Amino acid sequence: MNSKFKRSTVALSLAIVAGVVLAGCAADGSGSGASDGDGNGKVGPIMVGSVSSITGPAPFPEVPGAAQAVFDRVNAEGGINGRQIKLVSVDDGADPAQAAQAARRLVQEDKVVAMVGAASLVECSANAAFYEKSDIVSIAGIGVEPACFTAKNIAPVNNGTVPGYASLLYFASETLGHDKVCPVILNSAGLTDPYLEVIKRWEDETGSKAPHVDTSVALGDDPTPAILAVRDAGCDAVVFNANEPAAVAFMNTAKLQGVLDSADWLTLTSAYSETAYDALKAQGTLGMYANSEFLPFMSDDPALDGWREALTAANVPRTSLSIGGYVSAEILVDVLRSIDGEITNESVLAAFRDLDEIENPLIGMPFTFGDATSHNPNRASRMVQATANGWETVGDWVIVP
Amino acid sequence: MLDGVVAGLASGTAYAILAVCVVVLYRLVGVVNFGQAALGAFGAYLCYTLAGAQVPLALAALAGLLASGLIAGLVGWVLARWFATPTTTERAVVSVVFLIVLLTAGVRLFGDTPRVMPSLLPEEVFTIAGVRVSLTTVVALALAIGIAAGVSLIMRHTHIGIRLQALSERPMTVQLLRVNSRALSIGAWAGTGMISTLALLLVAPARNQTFESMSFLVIPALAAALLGGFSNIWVAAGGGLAIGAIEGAAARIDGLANYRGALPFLLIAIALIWMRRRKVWDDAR
Repeated sequence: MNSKFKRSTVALSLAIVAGVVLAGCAADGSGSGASDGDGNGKVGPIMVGSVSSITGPAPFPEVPGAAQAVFDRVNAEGGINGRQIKLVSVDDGADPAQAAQAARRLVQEDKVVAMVGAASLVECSANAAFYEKSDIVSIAGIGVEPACFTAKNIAPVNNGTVPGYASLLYFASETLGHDKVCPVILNSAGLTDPYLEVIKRWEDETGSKAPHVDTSVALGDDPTPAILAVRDAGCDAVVFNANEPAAVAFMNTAKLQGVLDSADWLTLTSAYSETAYDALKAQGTLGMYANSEFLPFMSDDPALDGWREALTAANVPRTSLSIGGYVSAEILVDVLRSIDGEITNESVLAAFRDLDEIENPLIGMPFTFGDATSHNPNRASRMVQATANGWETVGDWVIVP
Repeated sequence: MLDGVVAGLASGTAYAILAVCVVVLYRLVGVVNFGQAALGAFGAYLCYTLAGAQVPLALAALAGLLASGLIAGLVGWVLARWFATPTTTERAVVSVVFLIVLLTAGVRLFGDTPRVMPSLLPEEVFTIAGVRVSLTTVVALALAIGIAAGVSLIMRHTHIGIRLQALSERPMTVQLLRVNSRALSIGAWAGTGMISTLALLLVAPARNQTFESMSFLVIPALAAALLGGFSNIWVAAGGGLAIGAIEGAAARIDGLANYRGALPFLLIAIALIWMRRRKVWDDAR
């Protein structure tokens, strides 16, 4: 019985080994077939990847969607020197483990030459080190986390919240000409200090002095204490870092406390939406300003025509964030076109490092990359105001020094 | 500082009403309902969703109230049907599951984009201690006190109240006495569900919170209920108002402002230790 057992074990082992070898051959076969088509060759599609939060608490499906819309257009026009661009967009579900896994699969198996059009709650901190190690450049559509703006190989095309907040301070003091600009920081874990630093820099550079800096309220809490404090400080402009629902609540409290008309109210770009406008209008708190990190998407500027057409054709929702995905893809296409030799991840990274600058009408300053160890190429905002006629663009680009 | 106290009362009324609901439900069916605020938020958000679809506000509010009553009643029925004499663990698990299901469904259905949240009451404003207080806050405060008074009276002086209390203490005995315990406990769930929705419908327009942050109003409410030992309705209601007032006052004091969220809980911990001191000493002897 013992020998019988041994025999069957040997047979089983042989079968497994044979299976593995055969499977390996098959994988090799398909692998060599695919190697003509991977990004490292001279023919077949150019592979690019995107790791985004397409599901989860704050989904951004339209950002990689807009990047795809750009590639659809470029491919229809003949691609890059006859080669099509193939975007593999992966959902990280706002889970760092999934984000890390997705990036490794894209780089190691799909052999992508660059990442583009990402918008994720977790991807930058999960993958920044991996991208640097693998010589992969990521031109993110929307950098959400602070880690997106401190990585060597990641360059988001949006401002990010802190530079966006700074642009509001400069706009309040320099464009609107207010002397008593009061910053209100709605706290969320660990994110207050960067705001305080930027307020200090704004005070130093403009010679302004904030009569009151409020940090007493957490994001999502009742904002009444902050409103009472800015009322008592006699502020004539209040810059606050709300997200979309918190901005609506903040304005409602300002109205309730009777200070709506005694100051201008300015907040971050997430309030620049149709749903926020409807809520602001219904509660009678129009007049609020917000920054737009791109050319304001609700304006009728002809520079937006290409974006509008591409997203309509691809059936992607037209939001402010989608412009980030769109711009990042256009920048990548420009750089890919500039590469003479083989298109590999190394040659793409080198092309970005050698890049002087790229103008894009949808962002307020030229995109640069260079040898910097961190990137925040877009620090320009255009201001919009909620008026009786909807969101209206106010003034020119505000560039944060 | 007084203006901070008055400002904090607006949130305090919501904590107080929710705390009363938590205590009542605990006294009647023995469940600490972690989903109390989520239930109210569900009804309130349903109301604003319907109102956004051009349904008249009164009808939408009614639908929201009925929906939360129905959902809560359903949970009560499930508990009574399958967990006739639940252990403490079973009760806690049911409560946690209820919160998770409500949170998931609510976030999925209502998302986190801001809504137009019309006020049920006219937008009258009074000035108290330099703070403008809306009529809604005053009504919510009156409601909190009214509900606490009403529930105390019912529990102590009516036939149904005594049956309800008996139900929580000896469910089997009550059933043997041919009291329809299932109907009573379903009624308790549905009633507290509807009151939570009413509370959130009153305070929501001033705050315009997301579904998620509304659902977590249950934390200060639970703290207030704890202060009342999950049995004293008046202490729970007062505790809710006090937590709101402390949060509001602390925001106006430099150095304390950053810790205002945690401050009420620190005070509650001290209060609980103080309240238990005699028992601990007695036991030690």
